[in-house]
Amino acid sequence: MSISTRKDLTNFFQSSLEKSSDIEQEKDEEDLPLKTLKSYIIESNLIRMPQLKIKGININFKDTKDNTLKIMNASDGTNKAKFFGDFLDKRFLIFYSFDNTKFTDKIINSMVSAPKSNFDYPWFFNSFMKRTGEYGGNESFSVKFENEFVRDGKEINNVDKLSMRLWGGNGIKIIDELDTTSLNRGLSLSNIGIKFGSDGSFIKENISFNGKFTLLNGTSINEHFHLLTKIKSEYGKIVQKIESNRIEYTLSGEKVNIVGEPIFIEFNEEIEDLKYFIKVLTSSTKPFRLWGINQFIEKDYVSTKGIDLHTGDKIDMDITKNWMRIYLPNGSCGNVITRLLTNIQHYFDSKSKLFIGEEEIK
Amino acid sequence: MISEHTKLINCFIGYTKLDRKFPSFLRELGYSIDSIEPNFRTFENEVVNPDILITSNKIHHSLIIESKGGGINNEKQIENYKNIKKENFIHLTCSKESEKLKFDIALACIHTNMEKIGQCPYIKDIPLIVHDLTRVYLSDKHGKFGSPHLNKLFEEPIQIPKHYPTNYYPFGCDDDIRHISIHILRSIVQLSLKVQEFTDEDILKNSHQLWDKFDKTHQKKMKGKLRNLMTSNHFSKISNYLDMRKKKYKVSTRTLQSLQDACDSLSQELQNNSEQQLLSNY
Repeated sequence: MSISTRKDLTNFFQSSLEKSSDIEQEKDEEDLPLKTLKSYIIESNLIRMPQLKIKGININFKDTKDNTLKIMNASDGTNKAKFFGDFLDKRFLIFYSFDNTKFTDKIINSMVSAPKSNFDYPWFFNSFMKRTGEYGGNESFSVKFENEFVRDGKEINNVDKLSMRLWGGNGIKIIDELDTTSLNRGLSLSNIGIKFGSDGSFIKENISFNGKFTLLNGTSINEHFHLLTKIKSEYGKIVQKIESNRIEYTLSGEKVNIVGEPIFIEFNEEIEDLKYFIKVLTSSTKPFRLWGINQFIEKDYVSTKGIDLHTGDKIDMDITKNWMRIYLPNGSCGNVITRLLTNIQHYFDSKSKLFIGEEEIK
Repeated sequence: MISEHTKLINCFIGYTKLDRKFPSFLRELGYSIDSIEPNFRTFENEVVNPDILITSNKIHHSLIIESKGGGINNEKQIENYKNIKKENFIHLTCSKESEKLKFDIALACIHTNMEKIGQCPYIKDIPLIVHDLTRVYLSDKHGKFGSPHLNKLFEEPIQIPKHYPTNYYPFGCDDDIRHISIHILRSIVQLSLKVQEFTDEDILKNSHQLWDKFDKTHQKKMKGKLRNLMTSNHFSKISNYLDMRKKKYKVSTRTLQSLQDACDSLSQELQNNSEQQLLSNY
C-alpha cells in the first residue's frame, strides 16, 4: 500500500490491526509475529532531519505529500526495515514499523547512539511508568535491575540483580506490595502492559521504559495514536519543567541575572563507594553516556564537571552519598535528567527520586 | 582546592536560590542577584569592586558583599565602601521602588580569617558575616546592619551543611591552578565536540559564565594563567591532541576519545599534586 498522507497511514495501520490475531501479552519480544506494529518515540533536538550516517547501515528518507511524514528505509545488507517517520512534533518524533523487532530495535538504537545525532530515547522513570500503567487496565509488567555500581569481585547482594515479568492484571497493586519487601531496591519497571480505550474500542499495548510501544491487538488504531500522544505530551511537560529550571546567566554591562534552580536526585540507598560510583557514572559509556571530571571537595562530596555525550552539552553536579545536586546550564537538554534518573533507577537504586524545588517529579 | 573567595561567592548565590540541601535565607527575604563583582564609582570618583550585589523588592533593601578569602590588603577600598551612596549602584539593581531602597555593606569571611580581617581599623563598624564549618553568623565584634530584617536573620547563627553549592561561580582569578584546570579541561573537550576550531578566549569564555563581565585586567590575568597551563609539561599530554594553527585549536574526531582519556588522566594527576609541584613544571 502506498502511503502519501496521514489518512493513508491510519487506514493502513487500522487494516493491519483488524487482520492481526490476538497476541498474548505473555509472548517474549522476539516471538512476536512479524507484522506487529512498533512505535518508537525519539527525543530530538534537531530543527530538521540530518543526513544520518551510521556505520554499516544504509538509511534513506522518502517524502510523502505531507512534509511532516517521511518514509525511512534502513538496511544493513542482510536485513531491511521500513519506518514511517512522524515529524509533526519536532521535539518528539515517532517512528512506526511492522518489520522484524530485533532489526527495528537495532536501527533505532543506532540512530540514538550515533555520535552527535542529537537523538535520544525518552526515559520513562519508575513513577512515570506507574502513571502510564494507570491510564488503562494494567495487564502485565516487567522489572529489570542490575547494580552497575558494584566493583568486580565484590560480593553481590541479593538485590544487585533482579529480573521478572508478571501477567494477570493488578500490576500496580503488586508493585506497591513488592515495594514493602527487601526487593524494593530493584523494582525498576522496564515494561508495562496495558489495555487502553473507551466506548467499546480498545488496544492492548506493551510500553517500554525507553519509549517503545508494541501494539499487541485491539479494535481501533485511534486508541493507539491517542495513547502515544497522551504519554508523549505528559513526558514533554516533565522535560519542559526541567528545562524551565535551567541555570541561565544574563549579562548586561555590570548587571548579572541568574535565573533557574538546581535539580535534585535523591537516593534511597546510600552510595557505598562514592569514588567508584562517579567513575562509572562519568565513564562515557552506556547507559549514562556522560563524561566528566570529578573533583573531591570533601571525602564524601564530589563536584563533577560533566558533558552529556548525546548532545555535547554541559551538566554540572554536586554528588554526595545520598543525593546529587544538578545544575543544568541554559541550552542543555532536559532529557539528560530523565536519562540520568531512569538509569540510576535501573542500575543503582530503583527508589531514587527527582525533585525540582520542593516538588517531586512523577 | 577551591579558594575561600570562590566558596563564599558560591554560598551567597546559593542563599538566594531554592535548594533542598542548602539554606535559602536570602531568597526567603526576597533577595536576588543583581551583579557579581560589579564595578562602580563613588561620588569621590573612586572605583569600588565588591563581590556581590543583591536586592530584595520585598524588604526594599540592597546588600553589597565583599568576601575576603585572606586578609585585607587594600584598606583604601574598605574606606571607599563607606563612601558608597545608593545613587552609585542603583542602576545595577532590580529595585522596583527605588525611593524606598536602603542598603548595607557587609564583609564576609571564613572563621579562620576572622582575626586577620579584624585587624583592619576601617571595618569595625561594618557587619562581618562569618562562615565556619557548620554555621554562618554575624561577628559580634563588628558592626550591625542598618536593615532590621538582616539583624533579625542573624540574631542566632544559621546552620549550614558542608555540602555547599560549587557550580554557580566556577573559579576566580586567585583560585588554585589545579581547580581552574578542571574547568579548562572540560571546556576543551566540550568545544572539541561542539565546534570545528577554537581559541584561548573561547576556552575561557566557555569555562566561566561571567567571562564577558570580567574587566580587561581580570581577563588578561586569566589568559596568562591559561597560557602557562597550556605550555606546562603536564599539559603536553593534552596538547598532543590539539592541532594548533594560527592561534586556533582543532581536534580530530578520531582522537576525541583519546583527548577525553588524557583529560581524565591529567585531572587525576592535578588533584594528586600540590600546586607548587605543578607550578615548578612551568
